[in-house]
Amino acid sequence: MHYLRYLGRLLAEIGAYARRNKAWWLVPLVIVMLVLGLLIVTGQAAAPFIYTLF
Amino acid sequence: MSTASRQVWNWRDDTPTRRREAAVARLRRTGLVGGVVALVAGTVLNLVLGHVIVGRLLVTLGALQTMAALWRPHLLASPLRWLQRFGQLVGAGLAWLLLTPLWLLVFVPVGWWLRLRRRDPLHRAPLAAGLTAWIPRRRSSDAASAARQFQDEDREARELERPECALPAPELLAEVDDAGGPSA
Amino acid sequence: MNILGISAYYHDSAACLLQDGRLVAAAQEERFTRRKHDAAFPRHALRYCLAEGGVSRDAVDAVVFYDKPVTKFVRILKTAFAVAPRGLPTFVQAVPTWMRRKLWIPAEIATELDRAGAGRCGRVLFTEHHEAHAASAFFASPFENAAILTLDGVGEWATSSLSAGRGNRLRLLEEIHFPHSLGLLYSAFTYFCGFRVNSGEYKLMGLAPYGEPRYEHTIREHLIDLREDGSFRLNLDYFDYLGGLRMTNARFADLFDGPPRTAESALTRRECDLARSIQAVTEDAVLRMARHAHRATGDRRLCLAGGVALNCVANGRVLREGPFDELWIQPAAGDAGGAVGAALHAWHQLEGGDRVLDGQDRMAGAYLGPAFSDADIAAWLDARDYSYTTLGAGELERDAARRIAAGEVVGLFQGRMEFGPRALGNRSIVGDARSPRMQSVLNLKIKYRESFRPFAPSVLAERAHECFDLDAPSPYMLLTAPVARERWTETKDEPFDDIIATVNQVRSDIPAVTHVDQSARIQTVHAETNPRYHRIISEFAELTGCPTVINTSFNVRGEPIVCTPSDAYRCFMRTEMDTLVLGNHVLEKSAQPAWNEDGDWRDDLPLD
Repeated sequence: MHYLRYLGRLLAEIGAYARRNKAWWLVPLVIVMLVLGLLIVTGQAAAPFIYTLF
Repeated sequence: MSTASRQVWNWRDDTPTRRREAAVARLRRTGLVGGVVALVAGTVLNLVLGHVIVGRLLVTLGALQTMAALWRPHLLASPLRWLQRFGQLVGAGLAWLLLTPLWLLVFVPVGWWLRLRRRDPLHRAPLAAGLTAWIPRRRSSDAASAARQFQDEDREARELERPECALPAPELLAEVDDAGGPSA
Repeated sequence: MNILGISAYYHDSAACLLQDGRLVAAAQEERFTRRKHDAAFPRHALRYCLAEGGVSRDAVDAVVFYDKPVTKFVRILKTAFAVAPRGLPTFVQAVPTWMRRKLWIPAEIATELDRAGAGRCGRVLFTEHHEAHAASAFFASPFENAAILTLDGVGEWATSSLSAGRGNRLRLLEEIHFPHSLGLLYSAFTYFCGFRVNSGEYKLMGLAPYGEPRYEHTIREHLIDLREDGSFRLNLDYFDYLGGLRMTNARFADLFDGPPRTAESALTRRECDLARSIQAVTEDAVLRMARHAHRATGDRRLCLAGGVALNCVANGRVLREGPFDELWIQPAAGDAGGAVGAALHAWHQLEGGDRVLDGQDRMAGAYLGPAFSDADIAAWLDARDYSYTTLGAGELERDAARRIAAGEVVGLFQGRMEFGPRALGNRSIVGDARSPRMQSVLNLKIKYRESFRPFAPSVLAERAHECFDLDAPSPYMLLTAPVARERWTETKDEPFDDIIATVNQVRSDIPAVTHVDQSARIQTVHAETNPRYHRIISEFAELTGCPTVINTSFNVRGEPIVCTPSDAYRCFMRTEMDTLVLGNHVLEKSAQPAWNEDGDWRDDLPLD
């Protein structure tokens, strides 16, 4: 997937921010939010299928 | 016609006919993708996972949608719009469902903890008399920083207590004075 | 070297192209998508810029985005920590868009460049938001050295900044950080007075001369702690923009005699007084900052950018009362101009590109958008059987001037589209400034609104002093100045309850462009940057003795300024405009075939 290629770059940026600014709290928070964001997007896209299923 | 203006005319000079054609093509594409996905999912459910009734239902719906997409795409307009709206609703619902726990588990406790320790990430407290609210920029940006999607914070600079009307440190200006040309 | 500048995702998305340091093209996305203040990725603007520059595949060396998304995201998270447990709705709204779009800018840029046929991009760079504003103000200015002030709502953390520019170098010196923001303070009053944030600020400024500054003291005492050097802190107890979905809260309403005005309801004296009061505070803050900038840098010239720099009343005061000899304001001072600033920053600051200092600014009169040739327009008109006459150079200008002098409303579409919020004679509706009834004709029959604001004048640069007390060029309509004293007429003050009657009162011999305080928002027209418009006004002056006309943007309320001849024709037919000039072709309303549209098109346009 197209976005997967850029996921590495995004995580590296977040990591670099955390290291340079001593803000390690950001790393787990962003990872959790990315996972939640993915769930929301998938849920939104899959809703029509779930709807037809149940 | 110049390339640039032809480009612009192509996007903007849309007649109702062209708009309709584009809409039909879009419907056909979306309908086909959805229909085929439903067909495949139905077949898998039916043959591999053993959910016969749900599987058949899905295969039927998928087949109907695929046929409609191929021969009568305009019939799909209204159902697809509703499904999309439904999807958006589900997305909004999911956002609340998933983000509220995060808010309650992380943001609310951390917010309280910050307040208990009298730390405000936004520096909202009033400024003492006789001080300036200007925050000096001690680091300049360069080619390396321009490649990054973030800037390096200078938290110390925010805490500096400089008198009102204090001028920026001369070395900051010297950075450009040395590099730039003579004064006009 | 091809550098693309991009601003997107907040308001007024835009793209620009810089070729070896020359600004070749710049356009806002709204003009193409026809959605006002469109914040979507500027896909169409980007394609236009690439086409205008003739950029071949894989030839884009750098794409520069106008802010630092990760820092901005951190600011949003820190704000959430600071206001929790309040702020959940804002949080739930913000996080999904950040996860889906705003953190994926390199991916989005790569995709869009590829789709536009530009292939792969060399580098993707990110300037700071205020760095981009400062670069758009200084590197585009005609000044070799200058102090630079940028003021807006908020970028990453900075809401105001002071920099020094020397040749091809720029250094940020000082900043003021969120949540303390002059732009957000002004927007809070915009919201409270019932106008839309990010677009109604102009209306608030236009409303100010009707009021008295009776709330000024309250604002200074409770809302803003303004220091002598122009720096300030806001008292966030009165605002709701940190954790809520509105700008102001109940305490703010208590302070200003009741709840916010609901949109579209009648304007009362309170709103006028609020507008006047916040305008006075803003002007004072900008003036103090200007004095501080002068002391800090020792420069004689000042450059301004950022949304607050669109406050032409404050700009006029900086020029008249401030310590600087000369002032230059980026015409696209808002976020759209950030695209230009980002690209200029990369070229001069990072690549070391030299500046061209020939006394002219680098914005080419802001005429940086698409142009359409006379042959193309004729082919388009012929294909649709629209009736038109083609006139030669000289003849066309005389004809247009004659029509304006006869009281006709003329749609003027020529040359390249303007970049930035103002129409400057290439996508303009033009009328006779001397006519006392022109103001209401334009408002009611063309713009479909009732406005308490007068229209802006376009005046021949070399004859501006005949009409206005202005001794500096104002090519981008970013300065206000008083109408020349000898043009004033005696007026009696109307009772306040009819604000429209007040504005329609004749106050000078150019009443349609004279505000209640005898000021005007001036565009000086220069023969070098817009020869045809200059010629039309010259012909008009020859006929009437008056070197100024009304200039209002070519659109109706809620619609972006027209981009193509078809947009212009549609707007022409939807309104009661008399004549449309499309390049060298003149179209008369009475000669056109009947215009049929399904439904009321006004329903499709949001109220601004």
